[in-house]
Amino acid sequence: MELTAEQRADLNGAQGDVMAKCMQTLVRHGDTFNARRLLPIKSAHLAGTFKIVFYSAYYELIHRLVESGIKVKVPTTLDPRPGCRFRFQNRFAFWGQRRLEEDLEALGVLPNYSCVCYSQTDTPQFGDILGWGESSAIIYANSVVGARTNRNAIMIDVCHAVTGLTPEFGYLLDENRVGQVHIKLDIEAMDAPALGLLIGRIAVDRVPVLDHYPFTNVEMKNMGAAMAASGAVALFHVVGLTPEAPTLRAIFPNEPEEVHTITQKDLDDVRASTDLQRDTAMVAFGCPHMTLEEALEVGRHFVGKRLVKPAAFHLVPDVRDAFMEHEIGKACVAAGVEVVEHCPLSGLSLRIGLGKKQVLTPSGKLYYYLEGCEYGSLEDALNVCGVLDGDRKKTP
Amino acid sequence: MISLAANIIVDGTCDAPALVTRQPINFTAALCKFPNLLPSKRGESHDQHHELFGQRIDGTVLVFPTCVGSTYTGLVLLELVSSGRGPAALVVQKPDPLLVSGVILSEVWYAKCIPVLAYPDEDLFSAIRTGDRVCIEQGTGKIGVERPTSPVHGSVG
Repeated sequence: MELTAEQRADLNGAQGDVMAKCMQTLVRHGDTFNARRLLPIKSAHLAGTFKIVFYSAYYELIHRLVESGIKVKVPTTLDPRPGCRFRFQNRFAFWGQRRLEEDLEALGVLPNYSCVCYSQTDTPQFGDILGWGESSAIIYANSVVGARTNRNAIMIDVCHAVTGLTPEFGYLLDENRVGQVHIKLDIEAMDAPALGLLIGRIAVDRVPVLDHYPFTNVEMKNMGAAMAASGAVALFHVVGLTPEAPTLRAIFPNEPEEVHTITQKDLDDVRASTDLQRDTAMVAFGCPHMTLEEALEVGRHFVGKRLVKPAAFHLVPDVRDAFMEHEIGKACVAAGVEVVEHCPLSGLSLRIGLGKKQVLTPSGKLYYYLEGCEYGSLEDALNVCGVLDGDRKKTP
Repeated sequence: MISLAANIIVDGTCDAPALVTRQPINFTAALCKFPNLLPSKRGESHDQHHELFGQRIDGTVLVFPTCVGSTYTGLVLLELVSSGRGPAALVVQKPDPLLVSGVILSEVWYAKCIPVLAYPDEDLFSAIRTGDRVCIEQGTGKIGVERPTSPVHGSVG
């Protein structure tokens, strides 16, 4: 690829060996995908915030960067913490977590520990070029905001942050942002995370375009996260809603490669049976993290009620503080809801009774990654918590 | 012996048995689970949504359509390839950036690498079956496939 004189100097070690390796990584990666050049990025987001006890290679590299005195060049946010204070087992599984956090913070990141960085600290604008990790944040930034980022692996995201550059290929280019798969909807009751799980399997790594539906941003966050778990979707469009799809014709300059209709039955089949739902030991909300808006909307069902099954809300640290001061937050705690700030996947992965079906979640992403997890719609989850008003109860 | 002409994404050599699946692989869901803690099970797939559940991918030529899921894929492949506990090679229909970057990270930072080849056509899955012996020659992009005479038990694909 073509490099500027400054970029070439950095590649050859002008800023030291470790920075040269970071440049080499981006150039090698970009060359593989025929990138023409490196583009400056507005911000970075790092997903590698868990010290997995049996992994070492990535953490050694982060430490080498710190030892070389390297700092991030652009505003850089972070994914959540594991639940190291939550359960005894997690302290063991995430041994070394404190050192990782110290290293990441020594790079000069904004330690917000959020998988919904776009909702608060790191809010991109339409057309911004980003160098983000975290599949759920990437798909949100691309689809809902109209910013541009590729799916960047852990450590590639770090190379972006410390160089302030990203190779120009993939979703940075107009021609790769048009629709490929047309998703038609034949449904009565929207269940956005379930829809996301199905679309991820159908589209895999292509760009799905959904018929118009008035999704909220929270629904699109949860739907996108699911698409990026069951599939490799980095960008979706909703006709007449997301910024790059004003009309079906505009987003499909060519004929769709595939047209697929998703029905109410398809959505309902994702939900666990009533018996399985009833057998679960707890209900987990928030993966990706609940935004304040989402926690208040879900939380109002808990006001004046008492949980019949343990439930946890997962919120970004800053948002958790705001929620706990709100009257709905206080009512949720009074109802028995545990309000925590870590990642539910890591917090619940090593629970006692490993492998048993014991968590119910309305998160498509958590359902995909967490072993021993059942999926229920938001209504199912509220119903199992015992806080859904009687006349709205539905059975799957 | 069948020979396929593939595109070289990351060059290299290998001679190992194939493990074939038509389902895209989520490396994070497969390899970041509690059982993977044991060194002997580091390469065992634990994605409950995948047909390779319980099977070992280390030392195999892993043949699959593409990778899906979390950006942790890069961390997982960097770890497995740099420690020599990864697949012997990756043969995919589409070279996903997450997949490729994991191998490139290991190459750039740890000077350890495995070949990654792309073969987009659907006949990939009829040409290579689980248990076949697969040879990849450096610099050619040629995949040599030899079928063992006796059937392999517990095969998928």
